[in-house]
Amino acid sequence: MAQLHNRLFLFLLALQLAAGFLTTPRPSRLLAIRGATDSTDWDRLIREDEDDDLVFEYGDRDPPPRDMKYTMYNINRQREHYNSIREVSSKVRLVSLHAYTHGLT
Amino acid sequence: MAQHKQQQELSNDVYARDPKTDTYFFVGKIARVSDVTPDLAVARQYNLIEEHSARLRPLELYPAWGSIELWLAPGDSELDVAYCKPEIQFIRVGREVDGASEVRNSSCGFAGELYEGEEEGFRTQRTEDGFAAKPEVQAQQRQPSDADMDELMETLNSQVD
Repeated sequence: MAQLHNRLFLFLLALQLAAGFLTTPRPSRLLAIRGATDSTDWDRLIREDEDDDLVFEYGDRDPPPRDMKYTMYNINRQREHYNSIREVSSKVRLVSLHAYTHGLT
Repeated sequence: MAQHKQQQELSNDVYARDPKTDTYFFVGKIARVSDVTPDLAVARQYNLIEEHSARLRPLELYPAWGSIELWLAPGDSELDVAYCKPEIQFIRVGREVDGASEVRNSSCGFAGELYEGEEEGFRTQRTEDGFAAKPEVQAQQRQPSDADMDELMETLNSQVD
């Protein structure tokens, strides 16, 4: 019986020590994870760490398409598309210029 | 030079303004593939650009959230705009354009303006028609553009190598 008590004591002690190493998720993250029931919540997860005092509501307007919501992912993607299009357009022009100067057109 | 011209044709500078004022803030640039028109490219990315504008100029544009107007200028025309060139006209782009939702997000791009340090940001005063509100600035000598500076740096670097 005493041995059982000792084991129980050790188990509770170990549990208490382990709890000290565990970090409690921040409430906002916890809420975001709990509420992640549909696709739009992923946007909320991405935006969570941003300092955001401004509120953007749409009222009677249609909400923006998911791929154009103001998230870091969408911002970076569209910036990459911008850079790619400008890079490609410059290469196309160079090829045209090369063909023109060498009488290929 | 011809290469720069081609790039200009597929890109536009974007300005945003509160309709109650005549100040247009430079908020970034768009690019698009050749079969997408500039207004389609803006309409497709309207929310991204509009919210970026409000965040970029929270004092001036955030209060106008919901009614912020987006205007297009020719690509890389900041210098001409700064000099109030009379031939430069801004064109207003609507939020809703037929066919915008069918444009693939990879067929257009947006590079939002970012301020560094205490940068005040580029702005211009225009009329309701998008023309310069002030007379043209007669510069003695035109300042080199970014493209000119890049070319100069390439030349200098090639000499170092």
